[in-house]
Amino acid sequence: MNTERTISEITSGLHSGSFSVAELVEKSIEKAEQYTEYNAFTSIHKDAALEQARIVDEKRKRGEPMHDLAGVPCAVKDLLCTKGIPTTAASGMLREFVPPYDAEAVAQLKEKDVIIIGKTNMDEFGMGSSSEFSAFGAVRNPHDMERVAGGSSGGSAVAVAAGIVPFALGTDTGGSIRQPAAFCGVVGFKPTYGRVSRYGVIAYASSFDQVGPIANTVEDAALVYEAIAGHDAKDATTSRENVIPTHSSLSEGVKGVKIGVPKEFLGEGVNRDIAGFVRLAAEKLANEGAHVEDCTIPVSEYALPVYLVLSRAEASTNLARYDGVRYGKREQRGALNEMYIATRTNGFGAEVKRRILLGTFVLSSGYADRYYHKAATLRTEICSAYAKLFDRYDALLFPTAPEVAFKIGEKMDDPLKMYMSDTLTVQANVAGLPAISIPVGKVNGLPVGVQVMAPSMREDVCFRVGAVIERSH
Amino acid sequence: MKAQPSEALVSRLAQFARLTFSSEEMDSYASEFRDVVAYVDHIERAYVSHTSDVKTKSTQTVETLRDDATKPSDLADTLLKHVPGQDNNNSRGVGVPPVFDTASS
Repeated sequence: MNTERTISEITSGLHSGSFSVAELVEKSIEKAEQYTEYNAFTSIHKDAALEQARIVDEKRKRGEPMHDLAGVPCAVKDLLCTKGIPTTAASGMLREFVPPYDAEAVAQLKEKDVIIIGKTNMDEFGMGSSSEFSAFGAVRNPHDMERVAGGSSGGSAVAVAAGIVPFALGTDTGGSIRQPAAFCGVVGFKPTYGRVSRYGVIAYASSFDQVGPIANTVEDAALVYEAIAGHDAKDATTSRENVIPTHSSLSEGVKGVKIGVPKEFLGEGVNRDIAGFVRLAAEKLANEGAHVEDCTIPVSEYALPVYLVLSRAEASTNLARYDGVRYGKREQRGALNEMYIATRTNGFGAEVKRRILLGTFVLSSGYADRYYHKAATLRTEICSAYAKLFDRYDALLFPTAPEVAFKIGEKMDDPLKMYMSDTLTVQANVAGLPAISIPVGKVNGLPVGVQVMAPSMREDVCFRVGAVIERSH
Repeated sequence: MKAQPSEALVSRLAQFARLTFSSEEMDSYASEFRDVVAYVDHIERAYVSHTSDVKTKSTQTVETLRDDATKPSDLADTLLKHVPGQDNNNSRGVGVPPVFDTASS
């Protein structure tokens, strides 16, 4: 039971009776408690997980029909509500918050008898690219403890990379699944906006936020994605379009698939060795029968500033609800306004305050036209540019991050430098498209990921191309 | 015109956002804020082509941060005054014309 890392290995072990769900979950929790130095978890729920494991074992003994994910342990980013289990968003503001309901993605997993062993550490409210901005302290990269795990779903990526769980849920607003997956050497997938319900996800920037899996393999990520995707009446932004089955497309190969490699994403600011890995992946895809060529996306340079303006504007409005009255922490002070100010000043961390300030600025009278409206207009242009590009290509291939995991503390005092790490991941969020990060090797002993982006609702293409890249590395 | 956020502006924003900062924090926030705003100003030079369906507005900056204070408004009274078919017997002062003429049916 010590060597199984993928879901199919676990499932076959359970089928053959090599181990029980309870034994599997116990082992998983043991590892989570053993690897505390990574600081990957905000809480571990041993009793509830073991109780659930016993129930699934009983079902299995009775011969009830089971989903492929039944009995598989997982971890959930602490931004998704879990009924009766604290959901803190890694913020002092919500340290005591226990939701009365499950996020839809969590409910879908529970319905399939997945066992949640704990909640994972992250940047506060999902705001960060390193998982350093947490009320629980920084998450550490298992490949080098002095380096960041990436963010904001850093704890989820570490929980998978360290072999604690075979998969974890994360959320991706500007790259928060894919970038930590790349930094930790695992697979991270962001579905199309509207493909997975955001119901029960603590909101950061509602027009960008999306739930997705982090796993060891492309196949596992596809399996988890299919388990959580689909229309949800509780989230009006979810699509009614049928979910295209992805699992079957994994073995289809890439013969005849047209793949573009945007030149803009391999030049200035991108580590040469990482760019080299993209070229290598492109070569391997071509050898497998794909038509690969360089392409260009002129408006892509505006994706990051557009993201910075719009996400901060949405963050400042979403976080206005934390006033000490309706949710979480309250600093009891004299007058009402003093209570609001004390609660928010002491409850939020530095990066959250920074984003609220910028959001308030870009929405304020006199600046909204210059920043917010211009950015919203440009977002439409960027969406059109990608839609046009996907008339010519089935998928795009480029690096997940311009660099490998950086040192803890290296960018804490330079927010703009930190924001720049999202340059390549925000493209998919601004355009609302699906994208997957696949580990392809190491630079100076640190993992590198390449990204495959596909047209809207064509998650199957991401997995299909991703599976070929995975097999060839 | 480039926006050059001053410390006073950041302080006003903090006030709007119900946050307070020490003077040390304010120095650092204001400086970081200027860097980020200078970067996002990058979008100003972006050429926007086919956006006839998107409302275009002037991007000229006017510093008009107003006081965050309530003002008297007679909007509700004005609206109600202009509602057709006022019915004084109705407690809300608004009458809805009958859909069917009961006399002719």
